[in-house]
Amino acid sequence: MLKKLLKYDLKNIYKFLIIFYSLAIFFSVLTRIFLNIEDSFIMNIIGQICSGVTISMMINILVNNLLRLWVRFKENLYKDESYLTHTLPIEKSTLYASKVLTSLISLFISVCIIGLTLFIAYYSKENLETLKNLILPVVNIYNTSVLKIVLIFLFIFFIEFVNALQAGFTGIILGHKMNNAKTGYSVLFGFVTYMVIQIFGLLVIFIVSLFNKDLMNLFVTNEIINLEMLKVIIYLSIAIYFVTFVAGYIINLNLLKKGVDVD
Amino acid sequence: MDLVKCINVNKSFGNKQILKNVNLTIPRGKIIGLLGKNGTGKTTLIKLINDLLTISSGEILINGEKIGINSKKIISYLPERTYLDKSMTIDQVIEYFQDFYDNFDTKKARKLLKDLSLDTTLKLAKMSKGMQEKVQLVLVMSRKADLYILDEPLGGVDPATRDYILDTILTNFNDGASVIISTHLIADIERILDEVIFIDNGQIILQSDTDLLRTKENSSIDDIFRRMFKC
Amino acid sequence: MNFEFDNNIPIYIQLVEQLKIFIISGKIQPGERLLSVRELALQTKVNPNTMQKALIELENLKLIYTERTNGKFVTTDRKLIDKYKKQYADELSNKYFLSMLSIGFDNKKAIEYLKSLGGNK
Repeated sequence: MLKKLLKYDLKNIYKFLIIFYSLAIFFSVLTRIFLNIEDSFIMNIIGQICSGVTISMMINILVNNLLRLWVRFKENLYKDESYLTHTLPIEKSTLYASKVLTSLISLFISVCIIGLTLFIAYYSKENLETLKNLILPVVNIYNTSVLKIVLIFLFIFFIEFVNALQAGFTGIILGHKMNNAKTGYSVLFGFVTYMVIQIFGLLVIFIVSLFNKDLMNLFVTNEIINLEMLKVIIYLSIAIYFVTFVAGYIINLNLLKKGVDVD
Repeated sequence: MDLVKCINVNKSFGNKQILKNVNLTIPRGKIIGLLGKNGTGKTTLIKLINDLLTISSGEILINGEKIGINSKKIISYLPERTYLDKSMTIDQVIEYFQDFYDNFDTKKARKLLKDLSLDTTLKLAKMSKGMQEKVQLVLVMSRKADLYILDEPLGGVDPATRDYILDTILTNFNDGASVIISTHLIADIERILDEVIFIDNGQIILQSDTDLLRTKENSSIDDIFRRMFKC
Repeated sequence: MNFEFDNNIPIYIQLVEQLKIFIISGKIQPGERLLSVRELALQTKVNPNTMQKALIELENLKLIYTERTNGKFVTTDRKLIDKYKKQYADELSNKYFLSMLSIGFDNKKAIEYLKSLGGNK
């Protein structure tokens, strides 16, 4: 049953996302073409415009992906369509698993597409050098390649988004337990859940810092983040986001299992 | 084992109590009218049976089991609203029902839709609300269920459509199954009912065999209802 | 078969009456096989349970009988059919006389009135 649900959930989100993916890639190609035509002021202007559009398309992909997942969650589980969803012979756990898997898959692909768009539009030896120089210190302390570091940052970015998304789900579930102003409460509870995740993260970092001098500097001095600190923070945040994701999953599932009150 | 058994069911939203101590048994093989004025708790009761609301206190048993996958497999439910993804075509919706319901009779659904002479490649969003409701009725009646629950299937339809709906229900419900029809338009459907349940103000006022009630009161169910619940 | 129902009277009683008329009038012939309960219910647009109840009643009156595998048949006992026909005719006549009485015709006058009408047809 999970496979079938996934089919419909993915179809639903990709009906729209595919358009933004195509647009982003289309403009990234244009950007590349126009920015590489040398010695033409007009072409350069057009290239800059295309570059702007490309970047806004990338943001669009993320915002749209996130918003559509939330809207679908709400429509499918609490609005008119919920009359069908909740009367299907399917466990609530399967329903929720499908929603989360759809989120993971679509957000992952979106992040990949954004990476691809960046590559198409801006990849050049000089740009790569600039990037390398920028993150070289980090690369040095990790004793690893530039590519790996980029991937690690993308991964943190991805799980951060996944957590924000699931906080939204929690908000929607809790908001719809209220008797009125459900949308308002959904936003409020979603925001509060997200803040709780962030505060939990900070708390964990603070506790760890009690045993780690480098990290303690983050709290007691005004120094710019030093690299040793960054290393710990990266590992920690990956661990924290993983824990909050699993905890969020269990909490949301149990809330859903208690039943829903649809309008 | 009773098909549906409600034991001391209560439902409130905040301070507002919608259902009060509902005790009810739905037998097998009967067409049952759930009759009451608007806003008296008919839809709330139906939504509870379909897992769309949480019970405040009490218990509902379907075939002796709590509401869950097994009850959903045998209950075919028509809500009083359009509930399909409107961006889907009729063909896609049929596929959807086929995917999720083992007891869905695709052939029957196709035949009934053909009788409506509908273009099945059409998106639901492009059809009138009346047509969407007919499609939903066809889908619901094409399942070989043990219990059909139809919430206000006759709400605001013209006489021709009303006949179509009643015909479709009578012709297609599974042998030996029960049908619960909720409505406030009693005169239109009382001739097909085996049993009636009167609900008012969140309480079950009466449950009786239709013909017994007619003989006892010497009048139509509609008249009896009007006499009991004067507006 | 197009039936009009009066919601004030139990539906199965109205069905029994209608089917009885079909049988005594010969619309359904003696020995003829009836449609299945479900089909009859569909044609008359009533609940199959109600139709079933009506058929049981007709069976009690011996107007129809069940052959275990083949379904239900109208009785071939013409005497019985005639008996019900007479009964029904009596009922109708009584109704006529009662109604005429209520507007001041006694039985004799009522019969004469009927005769006078019959001549015109």
